Amino acid sequence: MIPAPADDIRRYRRINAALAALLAGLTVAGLLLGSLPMSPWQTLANLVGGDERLAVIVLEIRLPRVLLSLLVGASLGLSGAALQGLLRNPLAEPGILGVSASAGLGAVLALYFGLAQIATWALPVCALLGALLATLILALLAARDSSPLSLILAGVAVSSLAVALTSLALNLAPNPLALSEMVLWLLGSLRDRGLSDVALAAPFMAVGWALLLSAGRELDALTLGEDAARSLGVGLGWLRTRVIGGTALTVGAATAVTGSVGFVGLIAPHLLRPWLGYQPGRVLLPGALAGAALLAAADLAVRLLPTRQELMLGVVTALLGVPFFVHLLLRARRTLS
Amino acid sequence: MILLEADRIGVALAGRRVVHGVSLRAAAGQLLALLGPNGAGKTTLLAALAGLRPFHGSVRFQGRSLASLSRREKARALAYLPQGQTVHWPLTVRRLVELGRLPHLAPWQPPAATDRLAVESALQRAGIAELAERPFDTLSGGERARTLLARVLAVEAPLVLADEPVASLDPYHQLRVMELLRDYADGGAAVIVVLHDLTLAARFCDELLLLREGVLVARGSAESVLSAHHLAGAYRVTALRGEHEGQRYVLPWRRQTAKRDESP
Repeated sequence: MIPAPADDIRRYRRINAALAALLAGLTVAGLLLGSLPMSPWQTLANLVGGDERLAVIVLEIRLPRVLLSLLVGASLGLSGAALQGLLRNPLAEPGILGVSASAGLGAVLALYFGLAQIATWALPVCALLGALLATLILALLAARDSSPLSLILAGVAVSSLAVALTSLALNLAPNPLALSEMVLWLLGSLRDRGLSDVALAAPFMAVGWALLLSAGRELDALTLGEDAARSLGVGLGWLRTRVIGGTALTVGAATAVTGSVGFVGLIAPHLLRPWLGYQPGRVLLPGALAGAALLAAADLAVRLLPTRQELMLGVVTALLGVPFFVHLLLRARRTLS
Repeated sequence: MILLEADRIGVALAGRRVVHGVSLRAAAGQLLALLGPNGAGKTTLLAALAGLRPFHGSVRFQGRSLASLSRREKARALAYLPQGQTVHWPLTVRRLVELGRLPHLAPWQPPAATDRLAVESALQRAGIAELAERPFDTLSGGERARTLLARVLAVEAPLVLADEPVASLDPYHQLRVMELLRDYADGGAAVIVVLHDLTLAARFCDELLLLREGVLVARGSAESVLSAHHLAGAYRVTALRGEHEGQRYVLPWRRQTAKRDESP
């Protein structure tokens, strides 16, 4: 039977509700499971029974970690969905603009010059400055012409520069310890993060989310191409500013607190797009929820896997993401040929 | 009532002048054909009229300057169908046609009953109601063209600018689209359509505008615009012409070999 239009609004709500339920489940699991040899039920019972040492572990170690995985995952998923809509390219992802590489550079410089040892907030602040600088360069490079290609090329340039400078910093690292510190940070992790990290990143993310979520209808119109979208009243410059600005804020803040975590922003929108009728605006909110779920699940896996040394989150998402990326490439090639 | 009044429009693309001082008017109820050989500046002129390219001169919509209208006002006044349009995601036909209601919706406002009605009516008129739930990438070329046209109709704008809406359509659907545009104009709108088919222009349009190298060389009835002289000058062809059922047809027949009008 042909579904009535109201059906897909219901489906949209059901998908969001299902994802929200999944997030709630992952949050509870993230709080109750950990490296302590204690079942979730026992953990819950002990918490209720007033085990203070356990309460500290749950509230000060596990809670920030779970919160950050949700915030960072949602940021990556949302900005990935918005960028794919803006660039009308299913292979776009937050890293494409070079914002995350530049935030990484900022963080590495903070470690290199020892600022991170002077104050804990120095590293994320430097990372945010890196993201901001990258966005300004990007805006200057891409301002002259509006095509998606010139934006992508500007992103490649910014990203390459940031990677080269990061390599330079690693190359000139004062000692092996500093080197391993920088490399490990770049791999991305949620280990040993505190509520102060949440407090630092959340405001930037909130502003970025608002910018990105407001772009839904205009991204839908962009399905018809730039001229048709403009004839429907879409202000392309303002739309581009919001999506790039929103991505810079959310991904910059995310990278500042976790290091670089790849592929979540690419995959999360893709998983859902077929169920949402491929409408770019409809993919935004579910994309954010799915990104949060993916990252929360990946971080839970990292914590529970009995490896000799805890796996880095960015390593895990990349290992899971690459096969998916290849699958997308093959499928895109089929539809193109 | 004059809906669109363009005065001495000049457009430059990448420093090159493509349209020179074209003036035109479109009244309610009129279907205008914009004709001319490839590269004559038809598409550029149409895009400039739609406010999508910077131009010299003035375009007035219902007496008001185009530049003085807000983006939303402009989008409601004027619907534009780009040439050879691509659709970047395989949305369903209904979703694509619904995009035509965007100029009528406030940022977070859901579509109201009037919007659904406009979409339904556009689907019906374009003859694609039964395709409404099909994804765009599963449609044939003709179905795609009608979907994109339905998107334009859904705007319910008093002025429609359509760039080659019948290109790549089979004869049946070419006639169908022309009838559709004729009907839309008869309903009180002004429609300007870029065409390559001279007979369709002669049969369906009230006024023909012939563009050559960015200059408006002829304008008026089919009889005057599609004269042997103009066809030779603009298209470098000779044509068979005649009448059937009281309507004129023009069939390009032979390329001109004489070089009299050509620059080296």
